[in-house]
Parts: sequence; structure tokens; C-alpha cells
Amino acid sequence: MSTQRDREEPLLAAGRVALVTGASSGIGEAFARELGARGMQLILTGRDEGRLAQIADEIAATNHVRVERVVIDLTQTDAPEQLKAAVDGFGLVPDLLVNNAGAAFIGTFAELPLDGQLGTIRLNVEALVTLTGLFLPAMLERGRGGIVNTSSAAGLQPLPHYAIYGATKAFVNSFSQALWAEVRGRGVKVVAVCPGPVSETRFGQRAGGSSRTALKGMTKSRELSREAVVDAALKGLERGDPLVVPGLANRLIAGVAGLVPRRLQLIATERAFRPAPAGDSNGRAGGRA
Amino acid sequence: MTHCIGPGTRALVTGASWGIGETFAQILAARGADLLLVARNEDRLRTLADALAERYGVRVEIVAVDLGAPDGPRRLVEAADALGFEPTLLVNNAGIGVLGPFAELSVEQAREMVRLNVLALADLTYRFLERMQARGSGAIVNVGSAAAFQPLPNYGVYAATKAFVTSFTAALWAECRERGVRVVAVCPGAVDASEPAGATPGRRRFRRRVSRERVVKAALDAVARNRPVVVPGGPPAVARMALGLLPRQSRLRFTGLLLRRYPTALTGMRRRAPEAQTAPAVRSAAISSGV
Repeated sequence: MSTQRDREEPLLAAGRVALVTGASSGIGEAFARELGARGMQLILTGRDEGRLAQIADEIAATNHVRVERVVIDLTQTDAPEQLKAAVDGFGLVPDLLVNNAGAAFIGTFAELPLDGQLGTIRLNVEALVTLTGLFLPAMLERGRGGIVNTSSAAGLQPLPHYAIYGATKAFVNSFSQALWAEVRGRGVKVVAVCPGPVSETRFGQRAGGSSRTALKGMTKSRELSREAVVDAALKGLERGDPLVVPGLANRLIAGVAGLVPRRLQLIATERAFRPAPAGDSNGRAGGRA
Repeated sequence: MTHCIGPGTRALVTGASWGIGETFAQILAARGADLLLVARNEDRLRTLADALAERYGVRVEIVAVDLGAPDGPRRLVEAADALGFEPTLLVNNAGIGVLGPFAELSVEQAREMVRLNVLALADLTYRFLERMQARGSGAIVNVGSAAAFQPLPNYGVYAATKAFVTSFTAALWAECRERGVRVVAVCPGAVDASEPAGATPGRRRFRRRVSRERVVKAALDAVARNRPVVVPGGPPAVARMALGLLPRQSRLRFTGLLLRRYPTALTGMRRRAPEAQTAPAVRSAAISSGV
């Protein structure tokens, strides 16, 4: 087993090419900085042109690596194809795809705008599957590649008031693990990383929007840095894990969740995550990370 | 406010031209419910509608629409409004599953599964839920699959869409509990489904199948008892929990191996023959077969 591993060409090595979506902030930015520090050539995507340019320039200057950027909104139909064309245009073939772009609309399903929730599905599910479908064939052909899907602990059980977000992440977890099993032994590794609350992300700030102070405290105590999430994801990828839940407390919660009777769990989480009454700006939130 | 299905119920059933959807239509009509049946194939719908209307004396409307198209759900709602049909029960049954390793599917096949099984379902749920909550009553049945409960290598996108459906529906059940609307995900195991034209019947192996009638009755019973998730003919809860206790990688290897060797074990459908992959008829080979 170790001999097979020794023969594998390292994936996260200087000169390899990584494509990171949603790289203009949050966990995506942390992925970009870490992979750049490892000497990888980067293609970064995001919607915030100014921020993306600043991050790309910093990474390129610090690490003396090539950093390309593509300003794109992946909720748009055919955006994944446009991104593929742009990457082809750079003459680069990604060894690593980090499907990190994601959106979250948090609040009661029936009370949030429909468009934002469908957009969340298009980004978190449709774009992720499409990009994977577009970049996987070259990886399989070369017998070398990695796919990191940024998921969430919210995908490990149904989560009232995160109904769409949690379900998109349940999709990502299921899809990533099935793909892991399909491509294992062909040189391509797949991992879904399921962080709980993460500090320094726009999403992390909103996710603390529960009306329950106790829950806020619990959320705060489980909070990980985005660097810790990236580290766990890349270690998981190199180890060959299909799914990684960073943080011991998050792993414990995920482990216990499957043992609690479904309705009890749903009723309890519905109460815990019920948005504060209107007027409290934390009550509902939407946005993209 | 009543959640008994019978005369006075107005049920909208998507994917109603065959399989579980057709059985929903038959059983609901037999109980005296008025129906709005939705599918892409107008001819099949009309034949079914005429037969049900004549036999049970209920009102049966049809709308032929492709719900996988981006504006499909909106057009269905407009068509229902034009018919003056305000559903008290929504059955989101339309779904598609394409079997095979992800790398061998076209991007378009994968997208189609996402658009119909996930986007259209969420879209329709939203549009009708809004009205049901305004009235303070109503019910939504989302047809999931036992495939939702574990990743399925070689059926990965389909299983993931059903993981979405089950997670979404269970969360929504809790959100709607105190608002008079009931929401249930019915997650059948292998279903003894009639197969659409072009599909090859599965081998008779692992035939622990559940009849479509049992699936429908389980779903309607779950509405009556206000349960979030029901798994007719699936692996028993104990077996699912035991599988859940195995290390993740062993679980994945086991299900991957099982599906590769016995594609019919969970789906009831034969893996598509390589030469048939582009044949249009086969595209719908496993529509809502319910793993």
C-alpha cells in the first residue's frame, strides 16, 4: 500500500495547476493563498473583480507563481462552460479543482425570495456538478488529479431554516463520496470538506444569526479559522479521505446526529435555528461566500 | 383543515404519465380526489385522464410541460391558474435518473437530473406552499428515494438529488409544522415500476421490491399521520443505522461494488448498454424508478 503511495506523483506540488472558485473571499481566498504558497499555478474565480485582482497580485508577488483570474458569476447558465473556455485559453489544465463558490440564504424557506434560493441551488449544486464534469476527464486521462468540494456540516442532517442550503450540501456530500468511490484507483482523489462555523467569513458571520444566545455561544466555541478548514481539506485529500469534518466538536455532533430520532432532531433544530422576529437584522440573511 | 385525502381534495401530480406518478393518480382518483396531471407526453396524459374521469367520476385536468426547462414550473402554475385548479395536495413526483459512472455521463445528462429532481421540485414547492400557508392547510409529497440515505457510486448524481430532496423536505416539515401545511418525503427502495418505452427490464435478482401501490399508500398515510420521511420497501431503519456505523470508506466500497456488479440490485433497471447511451428513448430509462 505504501509502495503504491510512493509511486504516486504528488498532487499539491510546485508547478501543478489549481483552479479555485469563489476565491475572492472567505475559505476560497484561504485555499488560494495556501496553494500559492505551495508554489502551484493558480486560476482564481470570483465575482468581485477588485478584490480578486488584489488577492491574485499578492499571491503572485509573494510566491512568484502564475496566477490567472476569471471574473464570473457561476449561477448563470453556461458560466461553467465559459470558465472552461477561459482556462483552456490560458493553456492550463487543472490538476486540482476546488469547487468552493457557494451561496447561502438563511431563514424560513417560504419567507425568503424564490430567486435567491434557486440561485443557491444553481451555484452550490448545478455549477459544482458541471465544473466537475468539465474538468474530470482530463484528470482521468492523465491519471492525476484532485477535486475538493467545499461543503458544510449543515449537509450532514436536515436543518430547518437552512432548508435549501443544508440540502445543497447534502447533495454535495452524497455526490462527492459516490465520485470518490468511482475514481479511486485511477489517480484522482475527491474530498468533501464539511466545516461547521468558520471565523472571518461573511457566511460565518451570518450563520451566527440564531435567536438563541446559548446556541450563539455554542456556535462561537466550535468556530474554526478558515486556514484550519483548508488544512483539513488538503490533508484529507492527500490521505485519500472521501469526506472531512474539521474540528472534534463538529465530528461529535455529526456522529450523534444520526442516532437521534428524526422528528425529535427536526423539532429541536427548528426551534434552535428559528430566526429572530422581524426587526432583528440577524433574522434572515442571504449572500454568497 | 383536513388532511384526509378524499372528495374535496385537489391533487396536482407531476410525472403522472407512468410509474409511481400514474399510481398516485389512480389511487387519488379512486378516493374521489380531483386531479391535475402533469407530464411531458400529452397523449399518454390524456388517455390516463379520460380513463380516470370516466371510471371514478372525478375532475381530471392535464398540463403537458417540461418541468426541467427553466420556466417549466412557472408555466405550470400559470396553467393551473388558468384552469382554476388550486391544489390542496402537491405530489412532486417527476424525476429522472441516469445510471452509470459520472465520468461516462454527459454534462447535460447530469444537469438534467439536477434541473428536474432538484430545481423544479424546489420551485414548485415554493410556489404552491406560499398559497397553502395563506389558506392554512395543504400537503406536499416529495418523491425521494432510499438512494438518499447513502452515496451510490455509479448512480451518484441521482442519489445526490434524492439526498437533496430528503434533506430539504425534512427541514421544511419542521418549518411548516405549526402552519397547517404537511410535508412528506416518500423514499421507496426498489420499486416494481412499469418501465417506459426503451428501458430494459432488470434482471430478477435482489427482487425485494415494493409495489407502487404500497409506495403511494405509505405516502398518503404519512400525510395523514404528519410524518416527515417514510421509507416503504427500503432497507429497514436498523439496517440503515448499522450501515451508518461502518467506516465511511468501507460503506462506499460496498455500495460501489454492489452497484457495479448488480446494477439492478437497487434500481430494478439494467445498466444502459454502451451502444444505447445516446438513444433518446433510454434517456428516461430510470425516471423516478426510486432506488
